[in-house]
Amino acid sequence: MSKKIIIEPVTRVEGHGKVTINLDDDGRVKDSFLHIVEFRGFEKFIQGHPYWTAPVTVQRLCGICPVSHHLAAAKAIDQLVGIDPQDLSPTAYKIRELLHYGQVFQSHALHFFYLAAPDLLFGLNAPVEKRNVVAVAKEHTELAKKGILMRKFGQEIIKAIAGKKIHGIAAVPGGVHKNLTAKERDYFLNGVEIPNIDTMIDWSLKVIQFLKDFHTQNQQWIDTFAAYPSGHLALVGQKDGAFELYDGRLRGIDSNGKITLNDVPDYQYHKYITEDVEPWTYMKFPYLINIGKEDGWNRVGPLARLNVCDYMGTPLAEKERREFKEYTNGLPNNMTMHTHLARLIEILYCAERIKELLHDEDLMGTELVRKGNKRLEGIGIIEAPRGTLTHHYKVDEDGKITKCNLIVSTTHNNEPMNRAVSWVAQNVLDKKKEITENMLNQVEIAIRAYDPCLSCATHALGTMPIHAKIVDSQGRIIDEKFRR
Amino acid sequence: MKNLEDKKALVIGIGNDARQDDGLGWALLSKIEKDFEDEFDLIYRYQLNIEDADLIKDARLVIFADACKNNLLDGSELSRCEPNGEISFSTHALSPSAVLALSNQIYMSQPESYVLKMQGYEWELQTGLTNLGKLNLEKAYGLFKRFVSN
Repeated sequence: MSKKIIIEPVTRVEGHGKVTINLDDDGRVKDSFLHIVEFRGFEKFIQGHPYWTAPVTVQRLCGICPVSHHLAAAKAIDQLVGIDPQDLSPTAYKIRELLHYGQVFQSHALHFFYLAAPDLLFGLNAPVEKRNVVAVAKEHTELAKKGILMRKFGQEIIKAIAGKKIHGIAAVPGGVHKNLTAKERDYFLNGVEIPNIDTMIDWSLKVIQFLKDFHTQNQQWIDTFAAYPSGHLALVGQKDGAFELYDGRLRGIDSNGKITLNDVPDYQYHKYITEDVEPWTYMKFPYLINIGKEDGWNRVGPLARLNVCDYMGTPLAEKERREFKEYTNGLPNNMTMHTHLARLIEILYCAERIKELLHDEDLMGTELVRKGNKRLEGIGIIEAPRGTLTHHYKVDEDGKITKCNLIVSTTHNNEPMNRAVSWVAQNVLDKKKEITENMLNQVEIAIRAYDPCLSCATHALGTMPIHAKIVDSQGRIIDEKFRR
Repeated sequence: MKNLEDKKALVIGIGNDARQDDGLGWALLSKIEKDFEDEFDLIYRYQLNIEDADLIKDARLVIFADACKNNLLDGSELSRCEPNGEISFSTHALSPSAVLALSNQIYMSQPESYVLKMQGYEWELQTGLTNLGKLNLEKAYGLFKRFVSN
């Protein structure tokens, strides 16, 4: 009798995802799917709104990365007032960079300490009630405290720039709403009220070392779990192959490092990237047109960014990147669990860049906004914490939005996450008579490595954390499990 | 050690006002702001998160206000919040009980805390509460005022 295993939703993944693993009559894995309940309605919702409201309105898309949507929209909206990224005033450009680094720093800290740490510290066989941040706090109090304060530091950077309110105003068309005052800058430098930026750099190094030690002790698992060859896509610097998060050119490589997308301007993305649909999920599947759907999909996010860049522009992060690259003899790293280390190297990079910017007088400059000649189309692409994020708008002569296209990072990672689930299905669940908690944990760990952010803008109390069930070919439930 | 009266009283509104009744938590903050601005620090959140353990550690009173998908007898409900770490989480977000547990675990601080639930009905990408949601908001505000007056 063939069986179907459904895990819904995946715990500690933003929004709702459902995993289905189909077994044949012999208990062998036939196929597997990660179904995403992704919300696509925003592109319709924003139509008819004045373009200048977009950077604020899009923050309502996501409770975890509103700043990323804000900045990607702002880059696109800049173009509608005739301002390309290089045309921003130095103050506006650097304020936006600081905001972005604060966002990536806090998002990555959250992922590592809250989502990844329970898996790493307690292992695959830990009971469900232990695999959470409260248990981490109980047994590793100082580590958890560092996580909270690192996350808080990034949030404070955002608050200093965007204000206290939930829909903060940081970027406006052609610039920024405010600069950074000396008092605000000193708050992050003097260490009086919160640990300062030097402490953040120190803690970033310590947590990298923690993960490297964990890797040494668990090398085989980290190197092989959910590993598979893939393409990688990310922005790199406009002038060279530097690691880049805010503005750059699109570069793609295949699993062996061969260039598949050769540093093309981001505003030409639609000439090179398209999306396909599948009947079993609402989420689209982006791929490179020149490669085709079968092989043209790419990972995005920390692992991809470290794979495609030629160097990182800060000394400590660059040292870590070199070591990271040496591990694979300079070839692309296709090991899913190494995404965690890549994410921590990015935390270090952000902390170093934040320190550089805090010592830059331009942050306190007074030229905040510039304007050029009106245009009717704008495209903004940034590297959000989870990967490449695209906002594309068209407006009419009155400035009302007529078309909006978003490609969010998790959409790029749709196929990669499906491959990761498939790996677990083939290597862990195949021919097993019983589905254990350990096995379910492994499915979730594979997905969580991508830190997916699904349909996350609504939550409300009372949501059921997890429901797993086994269904036979006749649709009858053979077994089911609930996690509350 | 701070005097108890010097400590903050927080109302943390959780939600998203672009998702219909998911905006109930923030809508309650707007009402409180008009009448009790000097008595409470009002905090807007999409979701609770780990740093909120740090936020509440020095408070004397915390009220978490949030929309609720479950049926509530009177449309809203105010109940004591106890720390609970023995849960698994469905998103990056923490529950009020988990934030309290985290604060207790890390800072050994457990402020007096309550959850004010408001039943919601629609969650689509649209601004504005439903009519039933608005009714429950008024009921919740009544509960809040009675709680404060006591």
